[in-house]
Amino acid sequence: MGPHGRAACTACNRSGPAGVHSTVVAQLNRRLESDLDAGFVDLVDEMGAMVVSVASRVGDPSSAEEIVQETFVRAYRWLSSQEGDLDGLEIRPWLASITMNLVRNEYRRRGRRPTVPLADRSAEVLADPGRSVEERIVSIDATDRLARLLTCLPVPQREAIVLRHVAGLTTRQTAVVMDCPTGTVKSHLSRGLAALRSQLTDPTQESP
Amino acid sequence: MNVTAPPLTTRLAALRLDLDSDQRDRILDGVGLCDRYCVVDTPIGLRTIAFNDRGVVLVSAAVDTDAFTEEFRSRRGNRALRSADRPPRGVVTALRTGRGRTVPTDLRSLSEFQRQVLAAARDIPAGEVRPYQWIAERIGRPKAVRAVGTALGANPVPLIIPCHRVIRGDGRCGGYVFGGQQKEALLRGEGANLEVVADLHGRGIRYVASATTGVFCHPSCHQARRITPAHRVLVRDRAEADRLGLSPCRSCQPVPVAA
Repeated sequence: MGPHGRAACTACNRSGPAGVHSTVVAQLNRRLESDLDAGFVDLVDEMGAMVVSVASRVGDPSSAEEIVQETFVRAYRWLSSQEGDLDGLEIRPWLASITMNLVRNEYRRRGRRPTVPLADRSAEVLADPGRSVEERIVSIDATDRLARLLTCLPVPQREAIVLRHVAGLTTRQTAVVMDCPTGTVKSHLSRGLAALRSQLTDPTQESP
Repeated sequence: MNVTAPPLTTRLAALRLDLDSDQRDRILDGVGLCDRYCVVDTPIGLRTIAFNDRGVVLVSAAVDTDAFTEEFRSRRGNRALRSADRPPRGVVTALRTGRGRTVPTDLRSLSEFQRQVLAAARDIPAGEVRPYQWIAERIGRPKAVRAVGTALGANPVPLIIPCHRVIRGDGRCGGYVFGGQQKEALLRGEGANLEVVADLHGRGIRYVASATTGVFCHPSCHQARRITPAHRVLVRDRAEADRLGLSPCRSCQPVPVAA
């Protein structure tokens, strides 16, 4: 995983626009370098949602917890072997790569791709006092439907959409994680989004 | 279809999940970054201790969980914290007897100077006391007496590291994390001869020596307390000890030994 993350960042410094996001990430690198243990707590807090989202939305929700745990164990082990020099490590895609590798191992081990759509979030949405009851019900419905449709996409489209639109990676970072050119990611994204749109507007295809 | 449906990318972003706090703590526990806490009995009442695989990190007077958690946060930041059934092996005995030199501590979050001060304080045996100046000289910073006091005052693991055994140069007890009265109670409980120390200091006497062995000690040193009154020599300072041809005690080291 090391060389992967490192190569990514030099690329980032050359091409990517340096925004607020990259500043925050750079600070996290500094914190990890100066005090790995304290920095790692921050890393879990800042990146936890991203890792959980990738593990549950690309992989099978039933094994997500284990994968999230293992992602951070591997991340910590690798970071503690680096002796404080994290120049060029781009944390977000690096962590996402670890998660994706574990998810792919899991597909392989099970001999099938992830299946179960989930009724998660429902409780959360239902409890949201900021929406009307009708809105909440429509929203649960839509969220679950979308999660379910996502599992029906071809694997590369699903991976690209989750990394880019659910986990919030940039297109370039998504390409790094998927180990393919940016153009390929863009085409996976546009095909995947088109498929989702057509299924969302065509009720006959909703429950495959 | 709902007419007000938000754009697809917004709806996808809503599929993002959060890391719940239980799993956060399990993750940090899995890589050894979770401290545990429990309440223990000490000679000066109940205390809460926090510890991890490396050792004890905090001894706090806050026994109430919320108050303890607050102190923990201020000392340890956002590290994970979970309760424990029992303290690490040896801690209960160490706290009861005041002999805690072998109890592991995790002081990585402290500065190098603080760690040196605490390591020096750890060498003072139960029942004995040393002045702040002694610590300052021992760590090779003879002028940093005030900084030594500050470092001891910020000791995160009092009782385990006996900062209460360091007293003022004038023979009085001085301040303590848990209060001056507790300091005195602890020292009395350990059998320290506080009256003798205070009385000698009041008369300008820093050391006592044995006329038979020619060795001079801190007045609270267990060797010094064995000297019979007939052979006891009172020594004002190190210059006088030199003049009298006395040699420093190897146990209480009135003359700092280079580290």
